[in-house]
Amino acid sequence: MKVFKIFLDIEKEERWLNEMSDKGYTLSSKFFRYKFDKTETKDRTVRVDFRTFKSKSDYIDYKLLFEDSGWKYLAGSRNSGNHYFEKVLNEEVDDIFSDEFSRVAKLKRYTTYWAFYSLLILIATSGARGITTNPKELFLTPGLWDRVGNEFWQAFWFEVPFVLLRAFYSYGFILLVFGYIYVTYVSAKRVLKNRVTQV
Amino acid sequence: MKKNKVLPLTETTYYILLALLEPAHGYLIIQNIEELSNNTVRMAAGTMYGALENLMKLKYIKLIDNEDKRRKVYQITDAGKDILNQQYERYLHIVKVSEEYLVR
Repeated sequence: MKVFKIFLDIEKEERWLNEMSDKGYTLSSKFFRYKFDKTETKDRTVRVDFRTFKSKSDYIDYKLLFEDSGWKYLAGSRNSGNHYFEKVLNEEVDDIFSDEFSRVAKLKRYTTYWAFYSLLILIATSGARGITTNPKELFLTPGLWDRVGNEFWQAFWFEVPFVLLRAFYSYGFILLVFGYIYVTYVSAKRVLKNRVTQV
Repeated sequence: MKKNKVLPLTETTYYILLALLEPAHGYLIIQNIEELSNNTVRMAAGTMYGALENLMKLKYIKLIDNEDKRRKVYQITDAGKDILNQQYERYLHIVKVSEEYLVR
């Protein structure tokens, strides 16, 4: 079964994957979309980690540490960021983290990654993006605003779709910034909610 | 003695450094810590991976050559031994003062 779904909240994604696992669907690959296999084994704990690796040997060592510890590597690749694991050993440990510090560190890696790429896109497109506060400047038809009546409206509506594209290009980064703020906010909220008082 | 920001070490960091007086790979460290701590410290894989990464950055542990090319094998460095000793002294002190108050 293939499912297309986008999550900004990595913890929400983990909960959804566990619901799928309860129904007997095991994740078999993730590349834009989720691919599931129907299996007999239900109700296995699924955990998502977030990390990128400097080298292939780092990535192999990482996967082996999890597999040695009883976590089957379901999906991911060296640069995928998200790594999906399923618990296969019946031991009391049912999480890939055993303290708050490392749990929060995962969310930090996730939000930093997001912020970095948002910023990169913002910088990469800034040259081509004339930022304007006057919506009239988004219309490029020469002398458009001097025209009147039918002639004006015809030219106006003709250009509207292009203006919308241009506006998205100019202001799209604002969406990215809000996306980042949302991700950070949700992560922080979850961490605070789950926070264990440490003595 | 100059004040060190990493002190006091957490219990898990202390155990990792202690376990790495002998060379070991990630999962072996987890198992050794379980034994050393009388099963009171059970480290999860993700936490261990992050902890090893941090200790490498601090240069308290280093990679060493081994036959198993796929699993990285770590060992404590001199700087690591030094910080382990400093924490050990702190624990000794805690035990000493506790004995004065608790064991009467």
